[in-house]
Amino acid sequence: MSLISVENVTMKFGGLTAVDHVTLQIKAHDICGLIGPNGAGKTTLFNVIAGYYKPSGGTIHFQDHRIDGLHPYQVNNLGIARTYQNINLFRSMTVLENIMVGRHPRLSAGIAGSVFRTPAQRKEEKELREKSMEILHMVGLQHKAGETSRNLSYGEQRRLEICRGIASDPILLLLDEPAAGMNTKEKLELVEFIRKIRDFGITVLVVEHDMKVVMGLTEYVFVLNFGKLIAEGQPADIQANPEVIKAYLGEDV
Amino acid sequence: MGDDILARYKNWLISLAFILVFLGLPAVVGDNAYLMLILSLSGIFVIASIGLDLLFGYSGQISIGQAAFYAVGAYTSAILTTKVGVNVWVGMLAGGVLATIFAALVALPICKLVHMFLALVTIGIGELTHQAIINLPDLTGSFTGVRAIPMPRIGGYVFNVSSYYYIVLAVVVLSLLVKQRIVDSRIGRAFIAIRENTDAANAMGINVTYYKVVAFACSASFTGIAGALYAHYIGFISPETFTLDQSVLFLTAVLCGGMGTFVGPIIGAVVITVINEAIQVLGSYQMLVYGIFIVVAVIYVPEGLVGVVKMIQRHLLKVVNRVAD
Amino acid sequence: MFIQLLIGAIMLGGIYGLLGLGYGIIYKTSGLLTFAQGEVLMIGAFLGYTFFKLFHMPFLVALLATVVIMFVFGFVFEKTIIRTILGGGGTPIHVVLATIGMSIALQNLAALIWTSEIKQFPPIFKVEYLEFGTVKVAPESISGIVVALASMVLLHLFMNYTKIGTAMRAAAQDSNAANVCGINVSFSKGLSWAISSALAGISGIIIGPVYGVYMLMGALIGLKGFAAAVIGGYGNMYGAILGGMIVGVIETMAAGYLSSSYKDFIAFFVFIVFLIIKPTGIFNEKIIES
Repeated sequence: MSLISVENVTMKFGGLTAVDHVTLQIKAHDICGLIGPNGAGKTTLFNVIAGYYKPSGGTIHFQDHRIDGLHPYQVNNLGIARTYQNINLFRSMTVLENIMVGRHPRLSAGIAGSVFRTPAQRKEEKELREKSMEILHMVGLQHKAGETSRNLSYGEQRRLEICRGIASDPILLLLDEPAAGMNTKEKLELVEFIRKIRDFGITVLVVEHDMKVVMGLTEYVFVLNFGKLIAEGQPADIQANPEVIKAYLGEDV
Repeated sequence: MGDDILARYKNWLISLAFILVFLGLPAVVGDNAYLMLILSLSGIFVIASIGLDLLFGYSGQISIGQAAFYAVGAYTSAILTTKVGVNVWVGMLAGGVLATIFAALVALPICKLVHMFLALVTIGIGELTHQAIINLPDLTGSFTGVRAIPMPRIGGYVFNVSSYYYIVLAVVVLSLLVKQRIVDSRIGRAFIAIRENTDAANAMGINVTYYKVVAFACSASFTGIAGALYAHYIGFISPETFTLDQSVLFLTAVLCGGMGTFVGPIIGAVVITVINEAIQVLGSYQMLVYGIFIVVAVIYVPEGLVGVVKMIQRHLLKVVNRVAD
Repeated sequence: MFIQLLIGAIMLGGIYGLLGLGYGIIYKTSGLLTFAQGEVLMIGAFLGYTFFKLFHMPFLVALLATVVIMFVFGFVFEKTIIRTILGGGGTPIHVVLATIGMSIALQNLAALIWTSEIKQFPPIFKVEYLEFGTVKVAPESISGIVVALASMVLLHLFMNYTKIGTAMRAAAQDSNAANVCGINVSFSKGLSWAISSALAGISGIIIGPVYGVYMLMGALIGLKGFAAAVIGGYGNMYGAILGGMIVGVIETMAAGYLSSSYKDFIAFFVFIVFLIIKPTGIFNEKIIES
């Protein structure tokens, strides 16, 4: 039973086909990888799944809901969260506030509740702060809760971005190159963190360029090239797959 | 954790101190009618500035058409109280409500625009409202305006131009409280998220269109009430007050005070009101000076006066640190 | 009456188009908005009036002198005030507010120099009215249309067939690439403000002889110039002209057949409708949207 099913999805921008009839399924509680050379269409596919683009063709089903064509916030409300290749934090907000915003869809306070500070709203805000601090504890950022997020180091911002992603208790988390710019130690910690995320019951789809991370972390890998899905399987098989090697290194290998 | 509580109470205490000062002010300067006028007008301006700050400073949506909401609030209350004989308090409330509904309806189609296109369309809305007032003489009296707008009353007591100050003060305090509550809540966080990074906000489950419209509506609530307060204070309104110039005044106040802060709109509103009155003495040179003032303010204080205050704080801190060494 | 209205509409349309052109050129080269075009138009009208009536210069000389002065004014304004604001951490909104401040100051300055009476241009031509059958037209309207068209043609030639014009278009499309190619993008920006001011000045001299010259003449016209730019597609030169014609025709016909007090309402209504339904305008210019 697949958690999310991408069915023959195509994404065209004018004359350019960024995603070309891609079909893939992800099972719940898996950590899957999405790899491919630069420009293969990985981030575009993420954007289509997340609702940022409406696919030119094909459909996407998530837990029996059809999600292609939905707005990003609707996709998020259904339980899909994402991070970005270039860190997309709310830079003038504090670290804690970024997490709190991430949890937006799980809260219910409206204008009336907020203005009149109803008991329900106050309870919700209190629990929100506690839960957000818990999340920060997971990556060791709790002591920087009041810091403006733009002042964090690159690695800290990356970790915060992922935390913001899990703040809404998503069912599926899309991570776009979370290891970019990290050193070896940070990458090891990242892998640990993502495994912990999966232990919470969250399914993860990771776009990554670092093969070591992909091999060490994922259980199933999809390979894109020129928008097409050219291979899928266990990491070890993918590594040995000639099509994949050709895609990364060119014809003459 | 203990510091946190102290900080929170510190804010309450400071606020209380200010409230007491302003409550006691009339006892000291009450016989200076001109000063009381400036204080009351400043207060009304503060309320409108809070509205624009929520919209522009927090949700990042620029509006150079706030005069439209100001007008709806003013005219609604004025017309209801003079032509239909509605109680003044109810009239003012109705002004705020109608301005809110108007803003929500208007915001829905326009909130997808950003930056200069949003600025242009809000200017258009402002102008359209102005033209509508002029072209509906049976309702608004067109250029003749609405006169003899009554003062509010409690029981047998009718307010006058001096005691009106307390009404304005009460609404200012209430507005600041409501604003702070909005800002510090899920709604406020959504506003700021939309301002900072609309795409990421969307991806975080925030219905951007909904919250943008809410921002406009909230902004109009404040601005509409301010308009109603203005109408009953001056006792007379005409289309001339509700022009692009008025919207520009609101924008200048918020930009010059400092956007997205607690005191920014207050400082900006007071400064603009004072300057507006001060340049009266310059006679035929006043608008020239006002125009130049805007240009100079924009060049030298782009962050607003709040930015200046922060800069002064930083300098003082540096000096103190150096002395302490 | 229709012909009469049409001629008036085309003249107004020409002016709105010239203003819209100015807005578009500035937007394309520097991404900025200016609210001072209406007042620049007004100053241009006053200058033209001063040269023509008070200094007794021949009309074309007065026109040229005004254009040159407004051109220099625009260039200096960009180099001083705009640069300082942007350099000091200001955003486009600060620039907008500064141009608003400038427009307020200019209005008052005009009142101080020329008083707030309405000034009338002395007749430029020996004939007071041209008659075509039942239609009576003031020659100033016709000459106004001619001047507007001539300006547009000259501008088109300049932008497309001269080195500087082509450099400006390159800078507008991609300032980084243009810089790398050795184009002085900074000069280009100053030039765009200069050209826009010149266009506004010309508009002032076109409309001055027909409607008179007074302090407040620029305010509404400036806003309608925006309408022209938006309707045509903000930043598109030909769009601005088309947009201007559309606004001019709608406004004049509304005034002629409905009521003159409704004309502004209708003009702004169309403006808003375009912004909401087709903000990219007739020629589909890209805009920033949420």
